[in-house]
Amino acid sequence: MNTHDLRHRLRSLFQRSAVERELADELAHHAALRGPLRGADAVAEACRDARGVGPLETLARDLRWSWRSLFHAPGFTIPALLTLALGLGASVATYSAADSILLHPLLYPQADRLVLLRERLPMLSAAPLRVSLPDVPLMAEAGTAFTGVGASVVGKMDLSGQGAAERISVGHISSSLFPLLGVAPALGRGFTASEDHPGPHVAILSDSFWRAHFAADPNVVGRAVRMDGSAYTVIGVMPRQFQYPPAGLARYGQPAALWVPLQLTPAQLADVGDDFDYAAIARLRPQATIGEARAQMHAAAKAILDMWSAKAGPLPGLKLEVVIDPLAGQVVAETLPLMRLLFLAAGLLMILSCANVANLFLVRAAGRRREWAMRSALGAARGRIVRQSLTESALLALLAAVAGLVFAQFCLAGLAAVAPSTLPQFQALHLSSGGFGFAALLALAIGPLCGALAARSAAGDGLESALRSASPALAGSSRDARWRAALVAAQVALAFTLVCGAGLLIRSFRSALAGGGGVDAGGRTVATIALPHLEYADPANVAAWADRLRADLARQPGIESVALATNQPTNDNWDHTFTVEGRAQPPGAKLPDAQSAEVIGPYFRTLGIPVLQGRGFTASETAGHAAVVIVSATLARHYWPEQNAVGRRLKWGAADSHSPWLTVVGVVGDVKGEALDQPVSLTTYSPYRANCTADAPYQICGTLNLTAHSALPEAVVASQIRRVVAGIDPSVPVTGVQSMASLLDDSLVPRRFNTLLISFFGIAALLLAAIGLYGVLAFVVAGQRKEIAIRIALGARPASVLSTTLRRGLAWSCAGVIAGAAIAFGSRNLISGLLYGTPALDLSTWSATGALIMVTAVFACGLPAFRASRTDPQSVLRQG
Amino acid sequence: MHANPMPRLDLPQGTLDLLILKTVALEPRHGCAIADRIAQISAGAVQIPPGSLYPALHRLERRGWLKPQWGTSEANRKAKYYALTAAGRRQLEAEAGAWKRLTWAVGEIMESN
Repeated sequence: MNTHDLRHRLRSLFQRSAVERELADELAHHAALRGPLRGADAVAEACRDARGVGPLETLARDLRWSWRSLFHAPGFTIPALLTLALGLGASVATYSAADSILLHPLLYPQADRLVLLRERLPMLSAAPLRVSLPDVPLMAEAGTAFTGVGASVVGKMDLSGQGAAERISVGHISSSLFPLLGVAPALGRGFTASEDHPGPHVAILSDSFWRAHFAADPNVVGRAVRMDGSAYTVIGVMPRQFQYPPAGLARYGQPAALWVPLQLTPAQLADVGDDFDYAAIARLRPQATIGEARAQMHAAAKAILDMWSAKAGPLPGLKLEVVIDPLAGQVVAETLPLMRLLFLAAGLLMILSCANVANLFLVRAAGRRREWAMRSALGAARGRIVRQSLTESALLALLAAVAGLVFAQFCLAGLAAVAPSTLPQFQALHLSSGGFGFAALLALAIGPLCGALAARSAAGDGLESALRSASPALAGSSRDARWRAALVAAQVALAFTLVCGAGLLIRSFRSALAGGGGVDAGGRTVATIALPHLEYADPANVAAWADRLRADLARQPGIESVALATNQPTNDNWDHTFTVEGRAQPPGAKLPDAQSAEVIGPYFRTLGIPVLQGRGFTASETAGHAAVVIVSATLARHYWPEQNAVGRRLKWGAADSHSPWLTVVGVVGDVKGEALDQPVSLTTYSPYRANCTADAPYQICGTLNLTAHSALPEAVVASQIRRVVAGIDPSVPVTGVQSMASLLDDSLVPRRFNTLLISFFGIAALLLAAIGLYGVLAFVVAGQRKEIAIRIALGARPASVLSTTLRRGLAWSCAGVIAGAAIAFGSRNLISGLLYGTPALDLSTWSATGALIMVTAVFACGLPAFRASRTDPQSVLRQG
Repeated sequence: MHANPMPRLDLPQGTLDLLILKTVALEPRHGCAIADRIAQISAGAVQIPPGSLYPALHRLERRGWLKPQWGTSEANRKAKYYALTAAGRRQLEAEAGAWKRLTWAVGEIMESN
């Protein structure tokens, strides 16, 4: 290529309009002398090729042409773009969510080498427990496959000296934990091994605590935090993203605001075989396998049992197993079913939107057969036509990918906003680079896919016949018609599947809400009162304080009754093992256990829990240490089947424990202890003073849940509670003041989230199917205008035209509903785990879904059908 | 338009470029005039359809052998004239020499026994 050639090419490229004008002038001159030029387009095209503009120019020209053609057909472009953007956006958002939740659930370096150690005691529970602290050193000793074993427990401490009294979540951690996680403080230092033993109080702050309480002071190291009346010297601040325990490990507590050393006192180390409350986390050495570690933990379990029997005497039949699981797997375990469902829903929506777009392309291709036939006859090469139609679809897919990314960003922001905080990583959701790649890949695949369908139609051998046929050949070939019908039916089928899933979840939500949790929520206001450890270390003081609160509150206008308890509906927190008198307990078998509620005041009346047998506590019983207990109906049925539980006896712990026998004086209705959509808890109720003795865990006895029954509005009662508590002791924090109804409702936050997500997919699918039905039927009607006009001219009534057209659309929909029901039936196991009180084959949901789809179909098909029935034969036939 | 005393000929590959260059060697001409001139000299035996003519002109222009000039044609319209460039003249001489040798060789072969 010489310089002249290059100059020439550049001029062709950059002064395109001038060159084009010159070419047009030249050919016009020829036409002026010789009459119209046959195949002028082809000649011009050949000249452009001769100028050697190259593939770049051709691409630019095709893109320009595609842009114009898309721009001039908004009836096609807008639905196609929206449809694709919706499908792409949802897929990208789901992919990004999966990327951060499933693939990177832990923000620690090389998190796949981290494992969680737990202890399984078949006698206590079938599920693995957290670990007992004195066992951790034995695990570390045996576990040479680990770089180390770290232990932690999360507790609450009262923060003072910085604004209002506040109870914060504090992580007690061994010095080995943070190095093992692979995260160093951003400021200051970590804990040293010497700080594992009792010594000066030191603390490491989380980034958020540092910002909230120290205004991100870079010189914070050396300053003090006052907790539970003691000063803790700040020695470090963790990096911004760091959290421990990681979200998703709900059993190990909320992510802590700050951390203090887990100091192993000799007393703690001596307390063997008890307090299975600790997290034990280890990191596998680079070459070590989890199998090696399992073998070593087998040895550790033996050593632990030896230690226990050395302290407590022989333990016949006691079995212990140290269970190792990858930490990441434990974190995502609860989110997995949801993610699986999300993936399925996003995939279906993506397929649906592709089907919709393919259909729109087919319809458009059929509409343009004449145009293409004309261009072909005028000399445009068939390859050019196919290339242009491919360019057009690629351009559309590209635009959709951009719109889809924007939409995905919105989806993720929305997701993060409504997600419950227990879901790991949902707060840190962002579009991953993988998400971008995924969108690009999808767009590249979808463009040619949809384009290929249209191009196949264009390049088919029907072009000349399209021109030759007398009527505008809108209907396309019968092969295309079959494709279109199948695609529309497929869309309806996918929409059925998604809507049915959403319907089942909505029904589950409603039935969870309708259950009511076993209490009467009307007119009940709840609050949580955390009594500062220092002043109220003795539960007797707590009880005295609570009595005063009850008396003061009862004097407020409108208050009917007040009661307090260590737990709250949907917020169980104390599990007691017990022995039933006269019930054989095989050695080594699991002891019965139940949630334990310690109550002050007329608890059952205040919460509206029905007393089914016997009686509630008397005032003297709740004020004292009476050896009485009240059990929930399910517990009574379980342990005293077919007999009256009242008058029977049970005791805490094993049969040989020193606890006294407690007489059952009443049986009360079941209460939902975890959440409205969880099974009822087996519960025992005891007078507060009887169970909360000086050696009882302060974590539980020091926090009281108040319920007040009043006819006044919740806001009034809330301010009464706050005023009365502040009047007794202003340093006592009151939290969680809300109506009982909203407390119960809160327990459904994760379920509401799932339901919202799947409903979004359901609505989107329904919308897409409606667009698909409308688009295709409208197109068919347009193609048959002449036929319809003739029929009307020959006397057909508009009603019969309407019903003929409508029937066609509804036949597609019916086929779709049947196919959809088959898909939904085949995939029912995917959703059954997420349902509550609703069978996966719930007849009413399935029929309601079918009805909803058909009603939507009637609307979507009704408009084109109505338009067809209003065809004016005169004007149509006159057009020729 | 023209009488056709001779049957129409199909041009061998590459000949069209040579004919065009030769036709504009004397004076710049526009597309129609080039086609007319070739038809006239060949007594109608060589008819160049516009679908071949114009792309060929653009190709020669790209190679730098023809130079476009804008003028007013006999029909009193703006027309694109093509003039031979110096490179075009060299190309014409080379091609013409090659053509003469080729036709001589072909003639010799055809007339041999």
